[in-house]
Amino acid sequence: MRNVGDPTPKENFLEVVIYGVERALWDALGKSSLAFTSRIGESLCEELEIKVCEENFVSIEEAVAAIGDALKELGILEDIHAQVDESQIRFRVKGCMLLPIEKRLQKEGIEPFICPIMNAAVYMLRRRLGVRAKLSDINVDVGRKTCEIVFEKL
Amino acid sequence: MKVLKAIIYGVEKALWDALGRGSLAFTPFIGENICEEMSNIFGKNIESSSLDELLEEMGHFYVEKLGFSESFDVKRGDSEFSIEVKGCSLLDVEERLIKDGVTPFICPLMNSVAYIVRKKLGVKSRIKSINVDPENRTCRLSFEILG
Repeated sequence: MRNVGDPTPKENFLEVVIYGVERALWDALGKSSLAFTSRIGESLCEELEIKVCEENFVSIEEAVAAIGDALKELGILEDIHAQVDESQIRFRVKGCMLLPIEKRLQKEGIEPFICPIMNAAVYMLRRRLGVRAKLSDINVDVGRKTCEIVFEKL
Repeated sequence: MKVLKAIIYGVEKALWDALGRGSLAFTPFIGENICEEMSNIFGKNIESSSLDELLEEMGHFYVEKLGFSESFDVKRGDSEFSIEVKGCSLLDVEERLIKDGVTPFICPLMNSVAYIVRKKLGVKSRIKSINVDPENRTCRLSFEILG
């Protein structure tokens, strides 16, 4: 399933743990779980030392490109393309390590809120550019190993 | 592993910052999902009918089958039990969280034990303490049996 190396049994198990957390929170809090997106992004940027999260950018295009490159460098995904228009920010991701989890969550009607791309992007846009964005759509294609994440600018 | 551990740390820290000790309420629910997945993915169904056997079976799964920790030793009292885990794969995450003032609530061993003890034996338990000893690479999970 994963493009960036095969998961070891331990990694596989940690993915199960992340899935378990996401589902438990969703079952208890529903859509309110999405409120954690930015906070998780903040912790994640610190923990993974994603320095671009602390840099200043003049445009959304520049910021989302930088976060995409940083995540690619960390091996979280194989490739990412961002497109920004008046009302939306659209990420097309290939080979994300959490793709199987996202697919399962989507099948179960759960809107993912633990996704490094989503978390880091939402946090960074808010913190660095004062832009608030919320997830409006996520489409996972396990066969093609791609995921499209669409944010609506608020 | 590094990224997955960072995600777990990040989620735990973010939730703790927002909900404080309320986050601990998620412990058995996370455990429920993990146990379901253990059964689906790893073919592991817990069958034991006594607390001692059940804990032994869980330890066997985590140590022998998954290699998630090096050892899993249980100490039992009348109204409490503790599990000493050596070389846990998430030891560094738990250590950092405790240093940052966060009581860990995403610990697959703790989550699955809390859930499975309740589900299989009808025994409610509560985590009393988590003590991490980085020097000896051990973690002691102490549970109180309720009711």
